[in-house]
Amino acid sequence: MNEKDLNEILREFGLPLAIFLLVIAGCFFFIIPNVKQILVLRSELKKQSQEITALSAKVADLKTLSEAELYESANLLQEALPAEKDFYKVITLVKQLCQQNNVTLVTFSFSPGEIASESAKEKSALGLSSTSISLEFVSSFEDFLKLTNQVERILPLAEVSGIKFSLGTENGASASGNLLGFSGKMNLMTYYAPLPKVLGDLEKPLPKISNQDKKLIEDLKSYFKFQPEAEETPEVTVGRENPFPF
Amino acid sequence: MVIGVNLINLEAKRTVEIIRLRRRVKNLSLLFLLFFIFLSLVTFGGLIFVNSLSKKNQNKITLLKEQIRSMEKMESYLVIISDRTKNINTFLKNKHSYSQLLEDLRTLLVPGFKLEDLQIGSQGKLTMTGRCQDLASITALNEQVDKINQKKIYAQIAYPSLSKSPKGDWEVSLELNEK
Repeated sequence: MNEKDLNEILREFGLPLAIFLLVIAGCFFFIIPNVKQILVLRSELKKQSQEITALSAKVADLKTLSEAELYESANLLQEALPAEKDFYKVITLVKQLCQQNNVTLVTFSFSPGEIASESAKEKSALGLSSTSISLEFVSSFEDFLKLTNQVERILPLAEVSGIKFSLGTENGASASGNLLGFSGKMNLMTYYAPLPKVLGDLEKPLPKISNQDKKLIEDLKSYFKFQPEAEETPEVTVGRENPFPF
Repeated sequence: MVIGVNLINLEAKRTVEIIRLRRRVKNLSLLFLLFFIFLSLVTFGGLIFVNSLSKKNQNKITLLKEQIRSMEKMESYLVIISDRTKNINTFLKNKHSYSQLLEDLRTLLVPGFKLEDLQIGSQGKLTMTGRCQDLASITALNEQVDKINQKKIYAQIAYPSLSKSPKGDWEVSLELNEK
């Protein structure tokens, strides 16, 4: 084969050969990457459509709820189980209940964080922190019974962990067996638990509130709640007797 | 000699074959090029289509997320409700109630019985000591204990000690253990 033949062959088959090489190169540098990208985008589309379904369901769920009702329920539940210990609320509430039931509160003391009972130990294992309150009182048995029944239904939730009656002949039982007045000591455990660190996540579905939870919320509404003690404002005479009340 | 005639025919035949081959190669390369152009257009079009779909979906997702963000307060309330109800249910499940025990204690305070000491522990254990004036009062107390026992709510009801004092009254100690 001489140079003339080679030139002839190249002239005849050069263009098809160039096309062939171009197509091969095009496949490698254009079609294959594009196909790969299409496949990636397709799997992304699948994920996106799943996300759209989940988010649409979440939006639909949220639209059916009432913000006012949720706020009220969340507040009530936080009152029942506070995020932090609140001695003032508990002791004010117990004091109010004692007054209502003619129970004289002699002394009270706190043992923050002390795990006094088996029940408290169990709850501590479940992530609930406790505060122990010890109350010394003087009361009749009937009144004490009423107080105990009410203490079991207060917000923040409390649990009686122990009762001890110190009875003497002077203030103890009457001859008929009815207790007119006695002194005693009652240990109360109140609990608190920190709130979840993340209050909602866009990607996560909404937590469901079961009928049992709704029933619990309804039940808690009937519990005794903390009422801030009304401040006594001095009566200011206005009128002729006192023309400058301010 | 007629050898020369055959050689001319062979050369012509070869030329024809080369022309045919050249045409075939040309056609094939053209076809190959057209197919490549078609494939390129299809993939490019597909890519644009899938890309636009993805962008559309992304916009939809952004819109939905915005909607959820505008209601994030409600979501946080829901999370709090869910967390608190879970904890409160656990608390109530493990809570020990003293109401029944105190109600039963009331029935034990029969006429003639003088309660001296009473302790109620965290596990629902009631320990009481007292004095019964006479046999009638101790019989009445025992009848009440029997009534409570019939309710079968206590794991154990026991008299750890029962003795008659020189004064003539009865010293009683009683234990009630809740199940």
